[in-house]
Amino acid sequence: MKQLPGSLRQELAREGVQDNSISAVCETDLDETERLVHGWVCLAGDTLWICRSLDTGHQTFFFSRKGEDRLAMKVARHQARDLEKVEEGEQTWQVDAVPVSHLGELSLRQQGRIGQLYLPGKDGRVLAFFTAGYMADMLQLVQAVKRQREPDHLPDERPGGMQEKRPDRKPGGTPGERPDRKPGGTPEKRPDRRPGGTPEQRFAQPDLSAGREPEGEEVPGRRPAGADNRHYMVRLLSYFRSQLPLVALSGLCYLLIAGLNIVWPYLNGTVLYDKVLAKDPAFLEALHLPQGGFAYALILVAVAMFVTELVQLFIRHVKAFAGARIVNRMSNEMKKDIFRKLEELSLNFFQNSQTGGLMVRVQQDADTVADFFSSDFPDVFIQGFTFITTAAVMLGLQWKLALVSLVAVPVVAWVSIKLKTRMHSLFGQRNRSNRRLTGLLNDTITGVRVVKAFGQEEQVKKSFDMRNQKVQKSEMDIVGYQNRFTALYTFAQRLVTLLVWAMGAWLVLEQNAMPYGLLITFASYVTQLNGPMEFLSRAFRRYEECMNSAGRMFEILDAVPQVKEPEKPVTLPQVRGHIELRNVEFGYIPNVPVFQDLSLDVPAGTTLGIVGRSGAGKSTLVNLISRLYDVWSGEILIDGVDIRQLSTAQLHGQVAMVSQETYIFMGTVAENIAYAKPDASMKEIIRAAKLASAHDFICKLPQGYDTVIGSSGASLSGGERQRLSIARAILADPCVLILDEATASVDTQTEQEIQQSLAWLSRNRTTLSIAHRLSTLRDADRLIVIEHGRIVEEGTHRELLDKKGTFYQLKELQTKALAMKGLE
Amino acid sequence: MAPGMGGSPPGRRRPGDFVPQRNEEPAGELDLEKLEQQSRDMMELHMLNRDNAEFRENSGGFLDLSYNGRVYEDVQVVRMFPFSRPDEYLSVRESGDQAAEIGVIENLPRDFDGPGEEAVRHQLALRYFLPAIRKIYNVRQEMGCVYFDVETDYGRCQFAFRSNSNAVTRISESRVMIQDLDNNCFEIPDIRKLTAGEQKKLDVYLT
Ligand SMILES: Nc1ncnc2c1ncn2[C@@H]1O[C@H](COP(=O)(O)OP(=O)(O)O)[C@@H](O)[C@H]1O
Ligand SMILES: [Mg+2]
Repeated sequence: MKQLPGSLRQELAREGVQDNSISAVCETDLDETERLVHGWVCLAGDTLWICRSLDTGHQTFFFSRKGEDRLAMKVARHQARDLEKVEEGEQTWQVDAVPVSHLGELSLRQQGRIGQLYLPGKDGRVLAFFTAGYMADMLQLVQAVKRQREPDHLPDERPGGMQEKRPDRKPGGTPGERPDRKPGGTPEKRPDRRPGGTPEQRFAQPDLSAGREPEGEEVPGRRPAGADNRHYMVRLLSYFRSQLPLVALSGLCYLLIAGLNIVWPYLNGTVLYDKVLAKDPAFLEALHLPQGGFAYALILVAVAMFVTELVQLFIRHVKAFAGARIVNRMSNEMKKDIFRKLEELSLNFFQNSQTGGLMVRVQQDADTVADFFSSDFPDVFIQGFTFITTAAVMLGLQWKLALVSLVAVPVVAWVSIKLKTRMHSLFGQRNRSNRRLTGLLNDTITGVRVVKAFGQEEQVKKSFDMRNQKVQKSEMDIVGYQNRFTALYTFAQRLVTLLVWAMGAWLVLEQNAMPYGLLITFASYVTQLNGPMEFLSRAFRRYEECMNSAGRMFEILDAVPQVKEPEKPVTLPQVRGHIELRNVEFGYIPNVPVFQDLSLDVPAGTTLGIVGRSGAGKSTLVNLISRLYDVWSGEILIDGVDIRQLSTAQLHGQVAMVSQETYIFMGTVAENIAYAKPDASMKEIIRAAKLASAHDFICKLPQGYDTVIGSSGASLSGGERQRLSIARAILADPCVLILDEATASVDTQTEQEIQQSLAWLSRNRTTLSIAHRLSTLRDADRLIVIEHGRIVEEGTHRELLDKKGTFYQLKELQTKALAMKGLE
Repeated sequence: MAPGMGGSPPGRRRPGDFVPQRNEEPAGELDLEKLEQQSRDMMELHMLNRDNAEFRENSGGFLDLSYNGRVYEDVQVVRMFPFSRPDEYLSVRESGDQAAEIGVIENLPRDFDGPGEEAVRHQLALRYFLPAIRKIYNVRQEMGCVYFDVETDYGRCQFAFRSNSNAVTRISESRVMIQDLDNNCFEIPDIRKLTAGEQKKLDVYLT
């Protein structure tokens, strides 16, 4: 149970409510005018306390509570902890007591996104308002009140008791938290939500956010970049761990290069001019050369310079090799990880993301990150090292001139840091607009037929233009920003060079404070400082770019598969196919359940026909049974075992679905049919195809069963694809067969044939059949009619017709419609 | 086995073909049995072999089949797996548009011999005309089409396919199949036998 804030506890204590008498609480966040007001409803003994904060300053209001986003959730929890501390003792409360005996039929209802706890009837009233996220908590509270009113209910009959049997539920899970909501309710992180979640999506409730105080500022989009980026960095670096020797090698190369960078200007400035050309005798002595042997010295210096260059060349080569090796491996590792993850992720992830760019994105992001690590990341060290050593050497040689050379550094650094924040948001913007453009492109290309059929080309073109302009604009913003910086940087660089020469010349001529060769050395050093400076100017941009990509990658890597393989999967020795649904609650969108309390029993080997208008939830029901999604609460059992405990392999092997959507994989026709049974013999494959009425059309293909189909192969018609997927199901020989409008896209003639095969197939096999043509369900052992996520009618075909209810109406409608078309 | 098979009236599409039933109340044991029978027929592959079937090339160069006491004239022989199993799983079909399947030859050299096998092979050779490319003279790409100029075992020829199609497919490590715009097929039995230059020309289109 959630903790009441201290100040409220004190307030309630003043009213004579003991802490330990509170048996259920639920938070609320709205008042009757739909303003955000913090409140609580508590059941203590036989009194229901409606509490409302009189202090509107501290709102612990987060969209995340409504299942917005997993990351937001983390942030929110983090903040909630902090805020609760603030709340202590600072809020004043208004509390109203309502005796449970007065509560009559305490009810809940939901209007749009707002829930109400109310008393129906003529003197009814609304006791509390809240956003829909609290619906579940409130439901628990209402049940607690009911139990309080009717004490004959056994305490362990509460719905919570049932859920505790669930494997993934932590023992002692608090009813208030409803952890079981999250897997289904919170769609796993959607990649397009963050950092690029569109503002409209995030602020789906603009009127509610209006009253929000900036305390909750850290919504994901505006979260400070630093913390996360550091976290990403650490994780990215972990990819290097496996290749430490190579990393060490390339590190060594960097150090050597930086060292040589220092030596070279010294050789070609001070040594060449001031020692050799200026004929410094001490220099000869140091080299143990005979007096006056400056020609030798010159040769020696030239050789030294040449060797330095050669060594540097060699080291660069080694470095490039090591770098390429590292990066290649790293990017491969990352891609591998991501694809593995994608496989594991459930359908929901793909449905929730604008899949348009997903694959491309994965590739590009991995490359961007690897690229950063190949060129920019090591540069931090090499440039840093070069900068520090160069600066130190310069200061040692001639500190006055050194100071002049370094004068621009703080300016560039300052501007870069300034730039970083702005860049972060600019990049975010560009990515968002890019993603929306790709999304649109993808939708348009995959739906090109629909676009054309409805004459929407203009419309699509317009929205493409719009999005394209946005991309352009954000791109221009970035470029403009960069250009301004580059201009500034170039200016600073030129200015410094000029200053150094001017000051150097003055020092050489007027002061005689330094030799001419030193000035040459200095000039080289200044040029060398340009490297680090230039790096500084682009480092932050590249860093942001990389972190943006890394963020998206980790988003995928961190996404929790919604449908998880159980830790200790149960494998049934023999599946009979008895299906049972118990109090199933499920929906696609948080707080919008499709089913609220659905129970169903299908004995093994029988055929159940599922009837309902479109959108009633028929497909949803069968998707749940094949565990494409997990239920929010309740359970689905096959032969008495919760499907969440069954091994996924067995479940998918034993439950085969033929649906409107056919999945064709890249491969030959034969491979596609044998998908569920790769070791099937050719004979078996042909038999299955024959039974599915697919054999004839396959033989007509020029390459027969060897024809390559799938994304880039030959295309099949909808009916042909459907027949292939039926053949696939036939070959799989499952215990549970699900037919979701299996014959929706074939012509009447073929449908008759397929119906025949399906009828044969479903004998002695548990079959759930959704048919768009109701007459095909005549032979089902039992029919259920679903409406608004509820079973409204149940019985055999004849019984339902005699009942003259919904089924009868639907059937009448269809018969008439078909009669008009001259069918049936 | 379908005894009714051979006696099927020519109009029927295939043994066990499902005749749409219009009666409202089908249920009952009898019907179930019938359904089962029909399905079994549908499922059954009628295997042809030298004991129950005889192929003969007639004077017009067509292939005749006598099977289960019935003579089918001008039958077609279709490879189900033209690439992976050219001599196995041959579907023998009636002539005409419907081309209902009469039966299946599971393995030609095993199940047939002598003139019968020869006749079938001849039929296949005609149907699966597959020139093998020996030499590639020239490849040029223009306006989205790729033009090949090649020497085949049937002589020199030119053909074209769309550059963005999957016209060139690798059947095995070394065997390549090319399908041109007119659905003609060409085969390169072993690309390793081509010269390096020829392989390079081909490489661009190989997936
Ligand atoms: N992936 C999804 N995301 C969100 N809502 C969905 C999704 N799939 C289905 N729905 C909604 O769930 C309800 C039931 O859909 P469905 O089970 O497909 O209906 P039926 O198969 O009976 O036509 C509909 O209101 C539909 O809009
Ligand atoms: Mg549906």
